[in-house]
Amino acid sequence: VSDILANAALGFGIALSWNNLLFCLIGVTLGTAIGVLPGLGPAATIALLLPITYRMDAVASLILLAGIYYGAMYGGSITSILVKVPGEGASVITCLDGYAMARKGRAGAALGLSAVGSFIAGIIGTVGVFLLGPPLASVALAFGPAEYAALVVVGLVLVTHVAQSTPLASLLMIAAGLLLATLGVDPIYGTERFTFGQLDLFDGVPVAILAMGVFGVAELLAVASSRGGAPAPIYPPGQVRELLPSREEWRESAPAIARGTGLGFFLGLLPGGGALIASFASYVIEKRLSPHPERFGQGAPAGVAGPESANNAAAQAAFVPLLSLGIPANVVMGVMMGGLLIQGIQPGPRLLATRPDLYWAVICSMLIGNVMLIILNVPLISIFVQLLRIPFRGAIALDHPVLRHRGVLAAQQRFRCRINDRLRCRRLAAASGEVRSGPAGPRFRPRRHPGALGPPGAACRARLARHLRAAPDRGGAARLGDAAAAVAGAEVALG
Amino acid sequence: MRRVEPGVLVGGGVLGLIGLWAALEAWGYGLWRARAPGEGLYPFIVALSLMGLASASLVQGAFVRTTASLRPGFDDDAGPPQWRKIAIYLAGLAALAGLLPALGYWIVTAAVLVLILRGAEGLSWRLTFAVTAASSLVTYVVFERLLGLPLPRATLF
Repeated sequence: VSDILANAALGFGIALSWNNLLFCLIGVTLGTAIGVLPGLGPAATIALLLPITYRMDAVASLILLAGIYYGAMYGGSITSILVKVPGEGASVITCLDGYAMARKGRAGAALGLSAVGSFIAGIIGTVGVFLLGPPLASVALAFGPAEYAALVVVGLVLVTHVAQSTPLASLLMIAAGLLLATLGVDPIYGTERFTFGQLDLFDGVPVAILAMGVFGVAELLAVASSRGGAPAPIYPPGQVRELLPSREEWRESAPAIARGTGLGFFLGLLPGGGALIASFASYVIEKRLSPHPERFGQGAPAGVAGPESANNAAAQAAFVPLLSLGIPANVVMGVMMGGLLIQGIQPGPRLLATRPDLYWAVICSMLIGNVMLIILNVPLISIFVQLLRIPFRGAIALDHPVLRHRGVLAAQQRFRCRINDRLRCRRLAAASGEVRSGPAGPRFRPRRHPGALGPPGAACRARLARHLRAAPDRGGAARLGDAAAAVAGAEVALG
Repeated sequence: MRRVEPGVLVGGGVLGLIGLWAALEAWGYGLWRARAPGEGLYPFIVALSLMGLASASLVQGAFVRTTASLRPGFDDDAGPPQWRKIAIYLAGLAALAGLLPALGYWIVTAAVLVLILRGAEGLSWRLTFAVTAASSLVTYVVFERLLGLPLPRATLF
C-alpha cells in the first residue's frame, strides 16, 4: 500500500504541474475534436504532432499524445450518434442505438450516456492500470497465435448476434468482411492480393473508412431516396435538463457501464484492436442480458453506454502493453512508441525502473484527463444537439464529411502504408537480427514497395516464424475481425 | 416455390459472383507453397464460403418468407422512390472518386456539392453557392491552416 501511495504521489506531483496540466488539456481537447472529425483518426494526428514533441519534455509529450488518444474515444461517438458516421472504428457499434436515440429526440441523452460511461470507464480503467497493469501485462503476453485466433472467432460469433436479420444473412456478411480483409499485401510472402495495382489498396481496407462508407453513404442515400422525401423530424429538446438521460435510462445503463468497463479493460490489455472487439462484445452481451433485446437497434440506452464504456476502458488499458512490455497494442500506440524512441526512451519492462516518473505521471495524467473530458463534454452536449436542427437539405454540406474528407482519408491511408511498411521492415529486420537500436530508435531502410521484399528464403522464413511465434502479427488478425465486424454492422444498419 | 425477392436475388447473386471471381483469383495466387499454405489458400477458403452462403441465401429467399423491416422514421408509402435523386447522389460519389486525383480536392468537391445541393436537393443558386463556399472555407481553415494537412492537389494542371 505504501508503494502505491508513493507511486501516486510521484505521478500526481508531476502530472499536476501547470505545464503538464496544460498539455493534458490541449491533448484531450484536440483528441475530442479529431474524434468528431471523421477520417482524421488519432494515429494521423499524433503522427502529425510528433515533430512538435521533439523539443518537449518526454513526460509532457507523452501526456499530450495520450490525451489525444483517449480524447478521440470520447469524440468518436459524437458523430456516430448525431449523423451515423463513426469518427473511430471503435464507435461503429454506437451508430446503431445512438443514432436511433437521436432520431427519437434523445440525442442529448445518448451523448450524455456516452460521455458519462466513457468517464467512468476511463477512471476505473486508469485505476486498474495503476494497480494491476504491470502484473497483468505478463498475462497478456501469454496470449499466442492460437489464443488470438480463438479471440477472433469469438468476435465473429458475437457479430452474428449483433445482426437483427437472419443468421444466414449475418454469416454471409461475415464472409464478405473476411474476404475484404484479405485485400492488400500478404503478410508472409508479400504478394499483392486483389489490389488491382492500386497503391491505396496495398495496406487493405481501413475499418474506419469502410464503416464511414457503409454507414455514412448508406444513410445519405437512404435519406435521399426515402419515398416521403424527408425522414421523420427530430425535435431536440430545448432545456438542458431534458437533454440529459432520464432516471430510467440511467438505471438501464448503469450495469451496462460496469460490464463494459470490465470487458473493455481486459480486452484492451491484449495487443490488437482491443477497443473495437470490446465495443462489439459489450453490445452483444447487453443485448443478450437485456429483458428487451428487441429494443436494441431501436434506441436502447444500454446499447450506447456499454460499448462506449468498453472502448474507453480498452483505450486506457492499451497503455499497459506499451509501457510495461514495449509492445504497441495498435497503430496509435506504435506511433507513440516511435515518439518515445525518438526521445531516447525505450518502453518495456525496465521503464518502470529507469523512468518511474514518466510511467506514473502518464497514468495519473489519464485520471486528470478524464475529469477534464467530462467537464468539457457535458456542457457541449447542448451545442452538439443543436446541429440536429439544421434542415437535411442544408445539412448535406455538414453531413458530407465522408465526401469532403475522402481526400484526407486517401492521404492518411498512404501514410499508414508507410508506417506499416516500416513496421514490416522492422519485423523482418528483427527476425534477421538486423535491427540496431540506439537513442534514435531502430535504424533500417524501409522499402517503398512491400511486394518488393519477395518470398523469403527458408532460413529467413524460419527466423520470421520464430519471431512471429514470439510476437505474433496481431494486426492481421485484428484487421480480419475488424472488416467482418464492420460489414456485419453495415448489414444491421441496412436492415 | 414462390418468386425470389429482387433484393435477395441481386444481393445473393452479386456476392456469389464476387465469391466465384475471388476463388479463381485466389487459385491463381497459389494454394500451397513449399509444404506450407500459400498466399491464396485463405482467400480461396473464404471465397468458397461466400459462394456457399450466397447460394444458401438464394435458396432461403426462394422458400422461406421473411418479414421486411421498415426503417424507423421513414414513410415508405408516401410516394414513389426518388430515383433521380439517388442517381445524382451516386453520380456525385462516382465523380468524386474518379476525378479527385486528376482535378484535385477543391474543384471536385465544390462541383459535387453544387450538383447535389442544386440538382438533387433543389436549393436556390444563392444558397447553393453560399453553403459550398462556407463548406470549402471551413475545410480549408481546419485542414490546411490549423492542422497543416494538405488536401489532394490536381495532377492535370
